[in-house]
Amino acid sequence: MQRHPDRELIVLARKGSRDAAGALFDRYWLFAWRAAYAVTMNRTLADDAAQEAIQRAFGNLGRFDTTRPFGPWLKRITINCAVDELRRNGRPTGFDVGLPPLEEWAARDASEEGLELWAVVDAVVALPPAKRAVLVLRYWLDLPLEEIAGLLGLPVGTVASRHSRALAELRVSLSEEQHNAI
Amino acid sequence: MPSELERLLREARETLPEPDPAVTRRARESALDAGRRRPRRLPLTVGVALLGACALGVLLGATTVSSGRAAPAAVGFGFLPEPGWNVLQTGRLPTSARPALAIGANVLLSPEDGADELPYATLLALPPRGVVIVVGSIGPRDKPDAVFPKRRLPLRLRDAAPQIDWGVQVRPARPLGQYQLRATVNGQTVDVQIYFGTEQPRPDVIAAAQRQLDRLVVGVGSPLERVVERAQPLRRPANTAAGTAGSVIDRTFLCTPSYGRATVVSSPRGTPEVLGARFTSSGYGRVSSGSNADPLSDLVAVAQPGFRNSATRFPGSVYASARRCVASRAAVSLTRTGLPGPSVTFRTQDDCTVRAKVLVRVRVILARSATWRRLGGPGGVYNGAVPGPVVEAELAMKDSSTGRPLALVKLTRTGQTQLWTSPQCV
Repeated sequence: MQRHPDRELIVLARKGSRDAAGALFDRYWLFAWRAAYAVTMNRTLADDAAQEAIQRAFGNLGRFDTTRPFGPWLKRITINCAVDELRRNGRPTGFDVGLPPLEEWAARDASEEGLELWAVVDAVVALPPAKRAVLVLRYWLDLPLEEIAGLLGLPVGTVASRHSRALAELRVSLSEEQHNAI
Repeated sequence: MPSELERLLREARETLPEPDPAVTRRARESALDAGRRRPRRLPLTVGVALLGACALGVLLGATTVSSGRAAPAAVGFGFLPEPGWNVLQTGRLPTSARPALAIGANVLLSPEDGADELPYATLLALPPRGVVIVVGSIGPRDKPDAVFPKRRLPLRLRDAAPQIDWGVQVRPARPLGQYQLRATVNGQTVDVQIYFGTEQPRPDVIAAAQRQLDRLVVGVGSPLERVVERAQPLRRPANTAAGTAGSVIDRTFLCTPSYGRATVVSSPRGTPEVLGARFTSSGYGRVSSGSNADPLSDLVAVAQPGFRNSATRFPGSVYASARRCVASRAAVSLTRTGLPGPSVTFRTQDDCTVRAKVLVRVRVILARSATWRRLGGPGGVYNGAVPGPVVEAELAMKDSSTGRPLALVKLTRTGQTQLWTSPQCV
């Protein structure tokens, strides 16, 4: 079941196969949760948003056009749910960066590259919400600027300028961090 | 063509965390159930969903809306205790030089714990239905920001986020539920840490915690009631073993600073670091070679977990540069003899001129056992002891050629620091 293409799993799931639905879930759950987390930066909100998205997607498998890829469809639903979750909770920023356990970090990520990536994540988290949202959607969720504009309800030009300003701010922030390193 | 920054940004998404297995299990079940539904059952589904939503609303209401008494107008900083709760607090209004702490617990507080530090002994013995709320403040804040957004009392637990502070679980063998809520309340910074005795507290326990949180007093108001230092006396919990420190690290190093200058820094917890409020200190003392441009300038550092500069986050608690320092058997006293007082308790940095090398001794009592091992660092390798938190630490430095003491830093478990330096340092 794990090797079946998405389309076959969806067809089988529609016919009532729990195995197929389970395989589809296993294939996409982490992807959906991380997408929700990237938008919300908060575990609790990500849990809620990802669950809601996956429920919506699976509840609507009957209407899904199997000639189209499943992943992008789920991603779009997830991002919508995550943005809704943020709006409902009225907190566009979260600071639960979800650090792994201490020992795990030391063993796994204690490389120069690992530290560099952490610094990038920290710097992204520290950006103002409006700019952060654009970078997260662009680089962590691979959305084109036009789609981001649609999602955030903004003109594409605004999104493009926020994108370039956010990148510039991030660049400055990271270079300051380098210079101010103890 | 994508820039280096854009490449890093894309790769950084791989550092995002993963969902909890329990959440995954629940999501899987609900996904499979959702997949089985048929459109013709929609009215029933909607009915069930509405019923569920009502039930959920009742549950959430029961767990997040307090039926307890809100704090009346009161002065000071701390908790007015709910029945059955013990509170212990500094009582005074906080300032950046004199931070304030308030502790509320539905268990008896251990006599090992003081009013101005995280109650580790109580937390280590916290039963499954136990709750400890620790509220810290470093005083007024110019204006709320994203880290400390403006909120009104009573604060709500539903605004708290699960938080393992800098990756440190207080009790790894039997994990606590750890949550954090930050706010600017009445112009004061408030950092609330909520510890439940289990990772999944029951709704009635959450509701009880909310009732005590309702009784938090922050600063201003008509003095109808005054927060006192110890609203209830400490009592030793029956059959509770006293908390003990996990291990002691005591090492001396001979270090070579660059440019004949050794910089000693002490930074109490909560102090804004170089880039302003974006990074606040977790509480540390360190000796560096004095070059801010050199990420390897740190010689020896001791810190509460979360020690970080603007570029790097270290896992905790004591470090020595493997490049610039070697172990030494030389004697370095951990006293302030030869160092004029009084001590400095705010963030400070002094440059000490040295002839060649410095001897640095670090003595740290850690809450958990720790081993000294090699750690990765920015562009190189540090030696360090990983697990924190620090119960108590001292860092002393002297000039190896003259034998004169240069500095002494003391660090407490709450991240407060004291620094004495010689006139050789400015």
